[in-house]
Amino acid sequence: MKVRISALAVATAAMIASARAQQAAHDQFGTVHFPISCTAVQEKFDRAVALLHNFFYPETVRAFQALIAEDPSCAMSYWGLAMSELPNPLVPPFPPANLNAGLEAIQQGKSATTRTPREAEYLAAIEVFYRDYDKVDHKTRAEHYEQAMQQLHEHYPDDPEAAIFYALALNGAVDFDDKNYTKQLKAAAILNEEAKKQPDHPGIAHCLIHSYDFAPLAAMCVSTAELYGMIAPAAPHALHMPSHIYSMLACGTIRSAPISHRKPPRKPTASARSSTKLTFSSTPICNGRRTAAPKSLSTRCCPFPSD
Amino acid sequence: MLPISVGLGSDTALAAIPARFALERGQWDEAAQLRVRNSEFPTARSISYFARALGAARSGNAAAARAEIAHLDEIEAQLAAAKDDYWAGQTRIQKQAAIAWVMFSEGQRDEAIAAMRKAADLDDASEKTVAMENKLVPIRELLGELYLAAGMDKEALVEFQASDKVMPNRFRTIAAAAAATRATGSVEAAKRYYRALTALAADADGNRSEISEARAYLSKN
Repeated sequence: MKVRISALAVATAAMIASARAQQAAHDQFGTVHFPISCTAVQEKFDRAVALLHNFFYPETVRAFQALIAEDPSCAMSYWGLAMSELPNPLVPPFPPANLNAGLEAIQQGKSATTRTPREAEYLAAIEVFYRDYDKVDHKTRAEHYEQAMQQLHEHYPDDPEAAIFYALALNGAVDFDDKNYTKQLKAAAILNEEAKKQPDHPGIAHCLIHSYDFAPLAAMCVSTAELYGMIAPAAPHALHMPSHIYSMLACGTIRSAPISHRKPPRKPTASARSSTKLTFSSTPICNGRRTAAPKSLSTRCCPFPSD
Repeated sequence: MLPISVGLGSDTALAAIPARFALERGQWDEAAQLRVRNSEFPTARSISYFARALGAARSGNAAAARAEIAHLDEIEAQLAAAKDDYWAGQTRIQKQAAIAWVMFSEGQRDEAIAAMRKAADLDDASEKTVAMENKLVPIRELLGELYLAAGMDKEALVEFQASDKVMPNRFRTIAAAAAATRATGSVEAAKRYYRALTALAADADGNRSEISEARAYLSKN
């Protein structure tokens, strides 16, 4: 298994600093800007996409339905509704009622008049996932969707949302027999790059956790796991996600795990900040190397003695 | 108000939480009595049946364990028929591990070890999915525990060390590694594991026998 330690630590340090600075200013679901042609509903659309990046089902469904009610001609709101019909897009199977509702949303979106070629491609990509859901198995459809999102990302390389949703699509089409974690690391590389530009983006932190949510990779994600709950403290899923990393490593967890299941304060308290700092400082020591000199938390981090 | 269950991920969690609580504490009777929560997802029920099977086998009730294994058989067939290869494979691993402990309880030591090793190898070759925050238990740790129960302490330690590389810092793994080294008479190694165990549980609020043993051993040696 060849896994290179990425420049994640650097990106994460920037994310932590920025999250602290902007915590009070931004929405409690993180900061997302997904420019669309329906400019009148842009702000509400951004918020709905933030919910989507936090897998905040069924609030996502309600948010995009409200957008459709406000402006039925906006194609991207139907895209959002279709995306929302997958409660946790990484955990199939999906109820047929949801799959049917997603397909219907896409059909309506295709006849909505306000859309650009880029927006039409978003709709076409998610249609690839829903089409023939009753005939084609989930894995095949997930792989086709991943390919469609790759094309979208290649057509619009400067669209961060295309990059982030492509990374999510990669995670949805992971091959569990691949011990090189090819798709996971491809997604992580894209996300780490985006993280430098959008440190408070909930989808980046969230999807990074999923990308590293495997035993040999998890140690690279301790600080991001801690961070996600601070980026989107109002999203239940953001409070849950760190436990994926913590439970796998029993690392950085002793103090942090209970925090992750409570709603963090609006502004991080001194103790929350120091907790993040502690976890972050422990990361290099937890990267599978147990020879580093132990310091405070790290003694709990990696206690298994080698002979 | 959100529904408690919105899919597979919720149902596996609701099955895994009580199962983990019993298995991590080695409360085999409790594990054997776990409620099988009704779920439309066979994978979620598989978790409960596995914990019940392991609990029954390790508390000496082979007949009850076999009844649970029959449920795992059914679930595996159901998942395989639905072409859900991944989850069918996970149930197969659980079944294999449970069978090993039944064999051991019936005195078939070598067969039990071979079966348990096969389960551990299958588990190492498989990956967790996002539907589980983590694997329910490290199957290789169970192989170590089987060796330990068979009095094969050196072999047990090899498996605990291997398990720790994949799932580090586990209380059960370190406590068992301490017991294995102690049984081989390696006082210094046992002390290192016991120190690690007390450090791991420095903020613990319970009264675990492993911690009492660790403190007693460290004060005498």
